[in-house]
Amino acid sequence: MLLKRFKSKFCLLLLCSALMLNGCFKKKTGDEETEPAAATTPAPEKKAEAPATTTASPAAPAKVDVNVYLEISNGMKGFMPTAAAGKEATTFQNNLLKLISEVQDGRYVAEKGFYLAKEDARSHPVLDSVSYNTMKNYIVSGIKDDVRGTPLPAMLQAIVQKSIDQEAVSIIISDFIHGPSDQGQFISLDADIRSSLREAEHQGLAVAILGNTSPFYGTYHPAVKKPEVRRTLNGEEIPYYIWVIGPQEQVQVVTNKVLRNLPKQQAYFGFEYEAIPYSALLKEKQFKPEGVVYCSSRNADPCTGINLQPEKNEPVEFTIGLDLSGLPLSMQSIDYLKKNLKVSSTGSRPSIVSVTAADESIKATPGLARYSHFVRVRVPELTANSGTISVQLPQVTPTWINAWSTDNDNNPAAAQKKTYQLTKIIDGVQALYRDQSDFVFKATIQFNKAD
Amino acid sequence: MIQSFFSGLYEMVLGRPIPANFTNDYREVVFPNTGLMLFIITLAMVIVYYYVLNRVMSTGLYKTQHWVMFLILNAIIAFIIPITQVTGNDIETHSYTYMFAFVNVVYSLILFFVFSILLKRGSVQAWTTPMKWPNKK
Repeated sequence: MLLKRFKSKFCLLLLCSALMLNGCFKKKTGDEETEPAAATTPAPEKKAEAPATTTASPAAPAKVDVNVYLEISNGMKGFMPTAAAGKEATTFQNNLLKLISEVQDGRYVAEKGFYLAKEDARSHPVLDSVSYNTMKNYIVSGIKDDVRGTPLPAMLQAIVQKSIDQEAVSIIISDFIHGPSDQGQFISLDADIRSSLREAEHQGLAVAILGNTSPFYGTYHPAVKKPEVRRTLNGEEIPYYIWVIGPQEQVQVVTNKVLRNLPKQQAYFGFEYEAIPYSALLKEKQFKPEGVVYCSSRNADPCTGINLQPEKNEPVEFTIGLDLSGLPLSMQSIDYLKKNLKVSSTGSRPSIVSVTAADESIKATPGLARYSHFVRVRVPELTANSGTISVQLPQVTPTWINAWSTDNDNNPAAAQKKTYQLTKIIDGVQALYRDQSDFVFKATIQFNKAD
Repeated sequence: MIQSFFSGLYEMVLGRPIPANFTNDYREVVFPNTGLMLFIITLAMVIVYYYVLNRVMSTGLYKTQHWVMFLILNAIIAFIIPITQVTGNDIETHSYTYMFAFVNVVYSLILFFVFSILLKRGSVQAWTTPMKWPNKK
């Protein structure tokens, strides 16, 4: 009897322990560990969210409205010499024909307009709406009109206003040699440019400036009229510029898909990326961290909070993955990023060890494929128990602008590829956007001292 | 609570997890899982030895050498579990992993002994295994 009672008791005990064991084994696997967490937030929604954050915050439009403005003052004539059999077209002609053809027939342009920018007898800017064929004829066979000067600020203002009214992106092609009726206006050029573009900044538009050169045949009208008022050039390289003004995403559609082969000389103003995807990469085999550093949350993806504890002889080093594929191409170049990328912090003293772009093997690795660039950061010491580490790209004026600017453009043959007071023009644009934001993007990682 | 208890239990001996980037995996998953399983499996082994084999079934495995066999079997399980835990959670293995497994073995020996002392009095054939103390009869 006693034995029987014990027997049943221990059967129960055995059953209990068996059940407990069973439960324990179930809990063991890593996947199932994560399951309750996933179950609390609807899983499909999470998945749908992920790709949305990887694209630039306002989705890039598929098609944009474009207005092309070609300045046709006498100073532009040399870029578009009359075609003759056996005579090669200039770079300007080739590029412009490609451009307007892309605008006319390309798949990324919805509404289009073509305008010839000139001035009337009283130096007021005039924008003549013309057909695609008319503009093509101007480029191919030269300018027949006689337009004296280019009141640069007034022209820009008129163009910006027109494009804002039509909600189109402006593509402005000009040599950007200011030709005012009153020479005193040169002194206030930067301020005038700033005023002329004020409305664009006000509307949240961005400006992309592309500098290129083309052989120039014909009469060149320098801004500085001494010693020569005009010179005849025969194939010297003279700069011309394409300005693209519009909402940031639309400007990028134009620069990346309509203009396509961009020259090396690029400058961007008013570009800002508030939500570029980034993550601290702490478990990837390709980017092994050093020292005591780990993600604050075990399954966080992306990981934007870390715990770290640098020791005297064991500094912390880890990699931050960034998706910069939405940025203008010139800003994506490794050389540019190496030169300009900064790391700042509260509570630590980090420095950048290296900047690399994703190579083929990384692009083939799931989880890493969504990042285009990798910044390795070293943290030798902490000055507080918690804080932030930010990788940021400051708004900088490209170096080519200084190199392409001159205070005397009277003899372009001696100093090729220079534009009169280009720095002043750019200063004006920059002043406009100076207070808008200091950084093109900023990727901030929170940290706590590891316990 | 359980997490920090087991993390503390292992890190007391082993120090901070290495490689450090998997610290949270160790603290949130591997340490608690291993610790819980260590407790439960050791308890189950002791119960099987004293109550199933030496009470319900009366198999005659009451000698100390049999008890030691179970102790070693439990230690082997205690060595394997940490390693499967670490590899199963995609954590890079390191000498730390094996030190951890070794520490778990030591804990399993201690626990098996403690559970034996506590539970052996309920056994019919093996109440003096591995020794008579602390029971008096």
